[in-house]
Amino acid sequence: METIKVKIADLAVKKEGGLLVTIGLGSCVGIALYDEQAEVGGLAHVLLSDSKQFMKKPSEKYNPAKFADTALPLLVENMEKLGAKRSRVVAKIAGGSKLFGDNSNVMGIGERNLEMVRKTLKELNIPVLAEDVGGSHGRTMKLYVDTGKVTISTVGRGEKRL
Amino acid sequence: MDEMPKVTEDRLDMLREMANIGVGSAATSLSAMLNEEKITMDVPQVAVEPIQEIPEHLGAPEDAVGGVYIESINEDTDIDLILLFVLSLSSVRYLIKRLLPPENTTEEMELSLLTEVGNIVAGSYLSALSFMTDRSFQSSPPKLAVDMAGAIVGTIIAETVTTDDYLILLKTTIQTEQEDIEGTVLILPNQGALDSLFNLMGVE
Repeated sequence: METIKVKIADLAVKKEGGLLVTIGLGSCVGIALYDEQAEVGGLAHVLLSDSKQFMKKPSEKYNPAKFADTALPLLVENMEKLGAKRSRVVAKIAGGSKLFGDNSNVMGIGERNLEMVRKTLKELNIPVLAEDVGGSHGRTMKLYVDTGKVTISTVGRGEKRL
Repeated sequence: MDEMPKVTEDRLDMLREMANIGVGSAATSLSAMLNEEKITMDVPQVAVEPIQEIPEHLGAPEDAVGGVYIESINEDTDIDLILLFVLSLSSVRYLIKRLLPPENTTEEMELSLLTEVGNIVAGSYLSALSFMTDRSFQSSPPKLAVDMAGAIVGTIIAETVTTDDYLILLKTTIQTEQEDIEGTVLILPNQGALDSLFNLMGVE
C-alpha cells in the first residue's frame, strides 16, 4: 500500500487510497481528518499548542505544522485542494499523553495540545468523532484513505480501531 | 524551520572529542557497576541533525527504548540544554539481568535502576561538556520513560519548549565481555545555544 509517513511537526494529505501514518505520539497530538465522499484524508503530528505563545516576533519564520493552531487550518486547506469540502470533514484525534509521569506543571504539554486541537477544530466546524488520548504511553496513528479507518497502536498493547 | 547551523569538520572533531571523554567516563562507571574487567568502546558517531529526523536514528521508531533525560543550565551564558540518553530495549534487559537479583525484583526497582544508569551516562557527558567549554552546568533530577523512541523524543522537545530545531547526536556502543550496550546521547540546546556551545569550545 502506498504509505506517506508524517514526521514530528509535519502534515500530509492524500486522495483515493493508501495510508497516512505517524509514529510515536507522546505529548504530541495526531489529528486525522477525512472527507468520505471525496475520499480525501489528512494527517498532522503537532508538537505544541499555540504558535503565538512561542513566537517571539510575528515576522519570525516558522514551521506551521509544528503548532495546533496553525497546522489544522493548513491541513484543511491542503485537503480542499484535493477536492475535499470542509463541511463534510470529520476528525479523530490521538496522543497528548504524559510520558514522563506526573511533573509539577499544573497542566501538562499534552493536555494543552489537546485543548488547542479541540478548540481549533471547533472554530473550523469540524466534529471530533473519536479520541484516544492521555495516559502515559506513546501511540502510533494510521489513517486508511480508502475507508477513513483509523487505528492506534501502542507498545505491548497491539493495535486497535479508533 | 530555522536555518541549518554550520557543521564544519572542526565542529565535528570537537564533538567527537567530547563524546570520547563522555563515553570513557561512562564506561568506567558502568564497568565498576558490572564488575567487568574489560570494556571496550567504539569511536562515537557524531552529527548535528534536524529534530524531525531523530526518531529514525534511534532504530525502528516504533520499537520501545529506555530514555532518561536531565535538564541542564549554565546561568552565566543562558545556555539551557537537555541531555537525553536512549538505550535499546535489549540493552535495558541485559542491564536489569546483570544488576538486579534474579528474584523478587519489582518494576519499581527496574525503573529506578534504569534511571540511575541513565543519570550516570548523561552525567558523564555533561561533565565532558563542562570540561570542553570550561563552564559548569547545573542539572535537574533525571526523568525516565520506556516507550517508542519517537514518542520520547517528541515529548522532550515539546516539554522543554525552548529547544532549537537542531540537536547534537552522539551514538556509541560499549562492549562488555558478554554483550554490547548500544546507546545514543542526544544534546538538545535551546534556541541559539548550539553556536554558543561551539564558541565556548573554541571553534568557529
